[in-house]
Amino acid sequence: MRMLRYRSSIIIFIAFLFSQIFNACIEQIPADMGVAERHLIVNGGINNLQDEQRVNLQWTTQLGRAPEQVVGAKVLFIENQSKTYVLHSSNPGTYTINITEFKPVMGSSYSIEVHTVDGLEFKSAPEVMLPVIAIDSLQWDIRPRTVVSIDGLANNYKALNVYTTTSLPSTDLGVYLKWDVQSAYQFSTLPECNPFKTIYTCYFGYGTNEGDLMLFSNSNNAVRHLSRFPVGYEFLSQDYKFVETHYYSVYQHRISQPAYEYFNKLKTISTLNGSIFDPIPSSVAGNVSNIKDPKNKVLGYFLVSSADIKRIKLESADFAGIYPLLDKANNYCSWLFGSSTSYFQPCCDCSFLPDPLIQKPSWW
Amino acid sequence: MLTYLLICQHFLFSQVTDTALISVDCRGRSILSVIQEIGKSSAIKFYIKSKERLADIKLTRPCPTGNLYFVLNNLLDQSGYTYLVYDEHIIIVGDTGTLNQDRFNYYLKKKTEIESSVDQSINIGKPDSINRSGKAIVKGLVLDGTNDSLIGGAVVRFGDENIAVTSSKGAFLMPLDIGAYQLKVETQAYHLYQSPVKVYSDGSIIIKLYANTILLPEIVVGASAKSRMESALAGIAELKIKEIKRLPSLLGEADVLKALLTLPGVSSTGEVSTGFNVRGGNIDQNLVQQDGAFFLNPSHVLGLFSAFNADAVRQVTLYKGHVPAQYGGRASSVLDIRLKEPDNKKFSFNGGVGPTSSKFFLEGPIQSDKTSFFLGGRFTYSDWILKLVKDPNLKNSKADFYDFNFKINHKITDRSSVSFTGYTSSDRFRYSHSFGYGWKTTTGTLQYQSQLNQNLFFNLQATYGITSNDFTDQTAVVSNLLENGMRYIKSKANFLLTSGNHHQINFGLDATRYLPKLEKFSANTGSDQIHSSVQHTNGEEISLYVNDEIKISDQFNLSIGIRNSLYRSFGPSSVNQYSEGKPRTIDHKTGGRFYKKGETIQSYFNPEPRISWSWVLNPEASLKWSYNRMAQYIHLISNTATSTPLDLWQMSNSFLKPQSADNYSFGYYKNHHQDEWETSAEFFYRKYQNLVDYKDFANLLRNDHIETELMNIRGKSYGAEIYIKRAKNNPNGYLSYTYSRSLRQSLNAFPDETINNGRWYNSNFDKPHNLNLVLNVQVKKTMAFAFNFVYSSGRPQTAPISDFYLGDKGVFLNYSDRNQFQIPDYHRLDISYTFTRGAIRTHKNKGSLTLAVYNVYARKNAFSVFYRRDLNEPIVAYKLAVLGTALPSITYNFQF
Repeated sequence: MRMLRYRSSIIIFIAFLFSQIFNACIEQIPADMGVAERHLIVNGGINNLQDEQRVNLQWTTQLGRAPEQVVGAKVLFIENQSKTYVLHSSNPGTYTINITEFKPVMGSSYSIEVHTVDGLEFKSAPEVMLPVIAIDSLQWDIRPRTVVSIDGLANNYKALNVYTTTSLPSTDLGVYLKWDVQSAYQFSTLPECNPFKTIYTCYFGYGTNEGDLMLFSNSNNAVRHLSRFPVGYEFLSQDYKFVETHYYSVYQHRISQPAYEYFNKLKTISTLNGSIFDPIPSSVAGNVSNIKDPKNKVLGYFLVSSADIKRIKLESADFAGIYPLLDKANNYCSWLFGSSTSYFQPCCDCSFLPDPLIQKPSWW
Repeated sequence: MLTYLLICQHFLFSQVTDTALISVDCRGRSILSVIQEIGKSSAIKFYIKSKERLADIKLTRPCPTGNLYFVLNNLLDQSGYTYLVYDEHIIIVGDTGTLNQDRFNYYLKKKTEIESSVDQSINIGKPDSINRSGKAIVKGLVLDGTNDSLIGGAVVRFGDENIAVTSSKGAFLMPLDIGAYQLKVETQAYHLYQSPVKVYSDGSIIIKLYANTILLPEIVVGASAKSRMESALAGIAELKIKEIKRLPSLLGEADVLKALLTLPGVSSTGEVSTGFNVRGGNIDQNLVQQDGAFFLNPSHVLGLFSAFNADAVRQVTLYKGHVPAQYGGRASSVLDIRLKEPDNKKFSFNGGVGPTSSKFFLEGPIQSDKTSFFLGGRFTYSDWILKLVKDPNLKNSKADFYDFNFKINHKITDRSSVSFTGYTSSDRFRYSHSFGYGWKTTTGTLQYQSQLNQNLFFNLQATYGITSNDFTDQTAVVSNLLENGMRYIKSKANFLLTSGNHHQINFGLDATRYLPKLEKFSANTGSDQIHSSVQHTNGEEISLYVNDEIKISDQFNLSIGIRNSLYRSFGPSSVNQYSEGKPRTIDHKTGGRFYKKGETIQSYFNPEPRISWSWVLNPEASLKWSYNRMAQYIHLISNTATSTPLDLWQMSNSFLKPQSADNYSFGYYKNHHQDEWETSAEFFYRKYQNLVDYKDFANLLRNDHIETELMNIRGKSYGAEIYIKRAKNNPNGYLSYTYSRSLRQSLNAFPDETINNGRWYNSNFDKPHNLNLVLNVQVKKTMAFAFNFVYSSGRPQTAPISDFYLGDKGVFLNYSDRNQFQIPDYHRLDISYTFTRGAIRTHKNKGSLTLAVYNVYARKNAFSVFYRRDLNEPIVAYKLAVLGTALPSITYNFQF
């Protein structure tokens, strides 16, 4: 009897152990908002595909609060460290220059100078616009993608993945690439939706893999050919994005080594999860500095890149047998507007829709 | 086998016959040679004082023939010597002026008193060789009766007034008046030893203590009360394995390193921390050695358990203040772990069984009293638990380890022995099919010990060690495997010279060769197999040292020494060269030079003086002060909050200068109520040069220009340690509190090579307040509770202070200066309950059952805090608690 009693105790203890040991050990705590520090944020740059070069300038505020726009600043592009181009303030904090005034030249170096109204001066290190590396082809598929939740548990979700196949120059010692993938899709209203049986067609645009920087470097792996290299993804959900034509536009930017290192560091600190393998985070310094006070941090990066673009066109038929799409006859108003109203004017005339409505792109 | 330390004098006596005629030729010979001839021819044994003088006195006359007394009278006439016929023996003594019949009668009286005083007494010395002074020197050893392991810190009392404390080698030396005494020997975790003894003359005694196999009324951590007062070594802490086993532990596994964390001045970055920090030093600044073999990664399961099998360990000594010169190679502390000596009398087997791991320990003689061995092992079988978990990734994960200790001793002669100690361990951690770590450690130490003469001991060690690490990542863009590691060969020749009770001199040579393994990388791009490797610099360190522990008087003790270390880095290796006067970056690399195999790349020399001094104010109070300078040529390169298995060990070279530390300690020690209470206050200050820190976002792996990611910085730490212990009675335990700061500073000319713009910043483990309370309550003779409460300040962290948007890629965080903030404070309570009755004890074996709960109130202590900021969402802070729940355990330990 005594042995039985001990055995029971042991089993209870073991069961208790198992029930406890795998409890979630991550929990939210109040964030220390710290103290407000004022740093310049530089967001923008130059590339060969843009008709209008654009730079946004802001000041940081306290953590979690919206930044302030930098107004009234004098912003210059400097080509080959000699020729200057003055940008115009189009919106508060936004400075632009169009292609008629400024057209970047392959092989030239570019930097930015910022003179604020309170007398601060900032300047970036020059970056050379390198020759474009063309995309050979794009591929896509639908397959599960693992997402690790904040508490460390991994789940698989179906995602549409976009890949590139690209040949890299065999002569260059280091090639650094960064990808941006833009989605655009067409959606047409149903004729029975309005009394005139009019079909309205709209175009929507959005970015993919938000917050996930897609980068590549062959500086330490000697790779000379990228085959089906993942450059973008989008988790699939029950919606109407793919019931008509859908495009993925892949921008393959060739960037400098410092730019690659900058974005790679950002990628590192944005994926920290507190594990023992995490490197200790740090402020990421870009290529812009305060001329008079180098210790004053400047956030962001003035990016000079040469880009190639290719697109994938998807029709609903491409999903047949792979991923079930919603029937357009179903109520899509709630999807468009977050409303369950079935007969609602904008729902039947998507020209009423606010952002993210876009004009039919020229390349469509 | 340990009797090589015994110092015995034997005099063989035979019957003295005064009737036989003796005839010897004396002319031209010394008195000594004539007496020796008489001794040989007549089987008479002479006890001769001052042989040198007798050897110098030459006889010019012939010796008459006669009986023994006649010849001796003639021989010693006018020599200043005379003789005593003492029972059946003859003692030749000098200084005849003080020899008279009264004195002689005194000896006889003493002898009579001794013989009549106590029955069944232990005799020390020979009743027939009582010294003329009435004094005797008693030398002794205190051993563990089950395995002959030496017990340091035991208090040996001859009566009430004559008290000695055993050295770390279990030895003591006691000057006594001849007479009868009650001998008592006591130390933690052992039964009190008591016996009447009779001291006749100089002699020796071996005392065997037997462990209290259940529970003891006393638990102490640290040296015994008296040795604590008298020892010249400041900042030394000793842990006995029985004390370690009594502490509540994680999943029931007694843990040497976790027990250290209860001592003042010792801390870690968190629950999954490989290693520990001593007085503000980095984890790589601790020399962690087991029977002479040092460990680079002394942990299992990413730091949850230590690499040391508590069943195989005899004694743990941490030198955190003064480090004697025979130890070196690290800048902060020395953790000296001594394994048991295998039992050379009988076989025994003990072990433990738990739900996730088991262990065993087997020891016994191979050849009785000559050769003995032990084999101990621990292994986990936690996979079956993971299989029970619903999460598919955890289900496909693995986390296991094993380790084995082996030791064999062989007694060559009574004064010499040889031993081999081996250790091997393996850890494997795999998360689903994503990534995995593995690391292995193997060491082997061959040791020869000999007593060259009564006062000189020799110890020769040769050690080989290898550590291998690997990391696989299947989730990376290019799946890859990375391997690195370190090999070393170490040899040490140590001489120990003792001189009476006043000097204990260690001197010798210590040489270590470090051979980093090739850092290998292999990757599979899908179409190509890529292989690359980086060869890191080799290094070797040779040190000559001498250290003397001097007993100046009953009040003053001194330990003084110097260690001169000579180091060189050598090829084969390519060394990069950089532009002078510019930041050391890959952009400023100007070329490189290849050094052939064995060719010296860079050499360094460091004299390391050591001194420590104690002043015993009274039998219950003392002051101690020490200064050490220590150099270190091996550096752990890491850019994570706590070390991971893949972190690189890098040798000093042209770029990485040797680390050095100047350590100052001062302490006041006071006992109360007949040593029931022990208190101390220690203060320390340390100054570090050439510490290694990394630049922000350093790429430390497979980097053939790793020097561009590192910088030499300086550091300092200071603090105070308060220790209050109730060493006796029930309940007992101790309270330790430490206030300490650990700061770093980079003072380079270039902004990219400075941290926090050159200002002082907190080290990763700067936790100002640390408090530990250990309490043992004996409920019954066979049942006891143990409590352990821990509190510490949160460790430093780098936290976001602002955020910004970049295009459509979302919002990114801008972080503060390095280690500007702190994570929340840490506290935890552990409880254990041990009993040894009922079903678990039979007449064939004995065992104990321990129920323990780690983190009783299930506090989710933060190991780290991290932040997420999603687009259009406010910033959110999360804390990661590695062991964020109460962890119960049950362990059954048995012994056959």
